[in-house]
Amino acid sequence: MSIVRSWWRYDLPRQVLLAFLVALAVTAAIGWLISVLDQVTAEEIASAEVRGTREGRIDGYDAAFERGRLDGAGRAALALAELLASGDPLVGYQTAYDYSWNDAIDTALNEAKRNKLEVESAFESWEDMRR
Amino acid sequence: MTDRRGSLEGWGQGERERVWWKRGYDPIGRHTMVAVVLGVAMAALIGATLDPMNLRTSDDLKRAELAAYEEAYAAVEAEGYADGLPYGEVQHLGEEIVNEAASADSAYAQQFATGWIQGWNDALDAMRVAAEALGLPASYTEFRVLEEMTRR
Repeated sequence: MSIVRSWWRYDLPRQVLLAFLVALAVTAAIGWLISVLDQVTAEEIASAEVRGTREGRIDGYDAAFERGRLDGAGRAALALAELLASGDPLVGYQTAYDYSWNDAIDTALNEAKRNKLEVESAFESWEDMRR
Repeated sequence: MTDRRGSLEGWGQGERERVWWKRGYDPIGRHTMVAVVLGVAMAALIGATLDPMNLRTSDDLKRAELAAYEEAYAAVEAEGYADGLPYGEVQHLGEEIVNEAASADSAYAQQFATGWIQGWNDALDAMRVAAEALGLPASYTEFRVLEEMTRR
């Protein structure tokens, strides 16, 4: 007896169809349950992406900045003796001036933003002053 | 008395001639099992490949957030490092030259220290002028903060 005839004899097509339909029904029921209990909208997905992007930018920038800061400190430690001996004083002045200028603005902004209660502020104009 | 041997013979003589969708007797169960596996596998395959319902759950929220986080994290790394490098250089020079007073007789060190002090003080003055130009009242936080910051 051929295998096809054997399947037919033992009612395989009908039972496959039944099992398929039952599986579809079970899947649809589970899908309906999920759609009622746990489905999220496209807007929620979009806001999750925005949140992830914002936090990723902050964390990524901070981590990389810190890595760069440490590398920069190491580089400066190596170059310090040479700079003190033969560095251009004008460059040294300008470098320190710009750094301190920005440092003062950042310090003031951080402190003021933490304590700010008023609506109007000078934050934007202070931020524009950074070099 | 029931003839149980007959039930083990598979399809009975009476059912053999029925149309296929009316049959239903499988005394062994093996074929039913094969049929169930095949039917469920087909449904699962169709569901997995076509995804007809396309449901999005709270797991998708976490996945979307994580994917966006990783993408943004990688996108700003170069920028953060490029900003941090010169910052770290000058910060270290400031610690050594200004705070530790290394080589006070060096012209570079003297000018560096001068710039260090003037840059800070000039920024405080400029911020005060900017706040006044905006017409902010003297009691505002900006002025209190500037007042509390010591000049170098």
